Amino acid sequence: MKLGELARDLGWETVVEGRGLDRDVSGGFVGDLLSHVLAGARPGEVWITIQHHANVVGVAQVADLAGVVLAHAVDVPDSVVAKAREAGVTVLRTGETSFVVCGKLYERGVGRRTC
Amino acid sequence: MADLHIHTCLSPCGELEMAPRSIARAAVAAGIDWIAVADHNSGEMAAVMAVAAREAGLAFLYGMEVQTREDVHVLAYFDDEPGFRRFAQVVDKALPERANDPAVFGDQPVVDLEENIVRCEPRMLLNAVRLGFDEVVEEIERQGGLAVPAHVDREAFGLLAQLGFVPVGRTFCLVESVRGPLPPGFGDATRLCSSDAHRLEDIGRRVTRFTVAAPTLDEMRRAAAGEGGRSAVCHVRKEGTR
Repeated sequence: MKLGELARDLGWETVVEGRGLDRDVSGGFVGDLLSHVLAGARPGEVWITIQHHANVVGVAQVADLAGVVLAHAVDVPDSVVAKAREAGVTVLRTGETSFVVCGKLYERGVGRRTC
Repeated sequence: MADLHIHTCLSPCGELEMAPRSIARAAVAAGIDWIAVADHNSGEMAAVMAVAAREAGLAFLYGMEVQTREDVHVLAYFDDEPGFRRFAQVVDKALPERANDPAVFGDQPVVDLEENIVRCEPRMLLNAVRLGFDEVVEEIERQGGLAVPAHVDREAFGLLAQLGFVPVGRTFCLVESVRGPLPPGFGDATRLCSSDAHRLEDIGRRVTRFTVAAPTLDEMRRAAAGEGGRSAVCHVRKEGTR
């Protein structure tokens, strides 16, 4: 499923469109410790976090993630928007908690193993 | 010889024995002649510590260990009390109202020189203030202070663990690490070693030997840059991970 479709279905606000909306989402990752995300997230995953320091954009870029979903209605600083625009990183936002966002993604098959 | 990261009894998990004169005495006994106390998100013990340090013949810097919104610990150092006070007020306003649970973190007493309890801080001090890492660093600098990322090689509350890497464009002349040399990403920064003591016996377990003209922030910056024969060299006397 494409990130753009998920964003539409789940009612996420698009903060920065970036280049991720057309990407197929390969899985999901949730975490607010950026070192942990850098070490564990895999390319193409959608990342759910409440962290909103500008370094979030750098991590999404380096880890080649499909996009970032900022949960819990966090305020997005201008520094994040500017960096994401520059880097082409997709940044989405929702008022729901990380837990609920993950649950809804899993329901739609994201990150679920198929056999 | 400097130990610039000591907690008083006000800090959560700081032992009650960490009273101003006791800290000063322990520092002298450890061969230290320059101290700073850095309580979590509070500057309430700074004034009385300045007096205790002066009494004991120790050089003193005003300090605080701030926990940013991203759970990064940053040390803030100031030469002058007015600048420190202004900074401390900003942090105080940004500290959430959540109550301290003494059963978990202990009481947070503000004490005077004679160890009388003046009051107990009711809010939980080991908590993130409502200011981001960049805002905290900029506020420290605006008030004339020096920002030093704390224990950057530690998993808990270290800059690299929380933020992944040093924010682009941000440089520090001094960076505190606990276990070993500074991790990559801090450019030309010089390592600062301090005890992070929460009990008397840990004071001086890690120290920095400064070769400077005077115990001031300006001289610290110059020592970090190695200017004119100045230097800042770490000495770890007792290994520890905290």
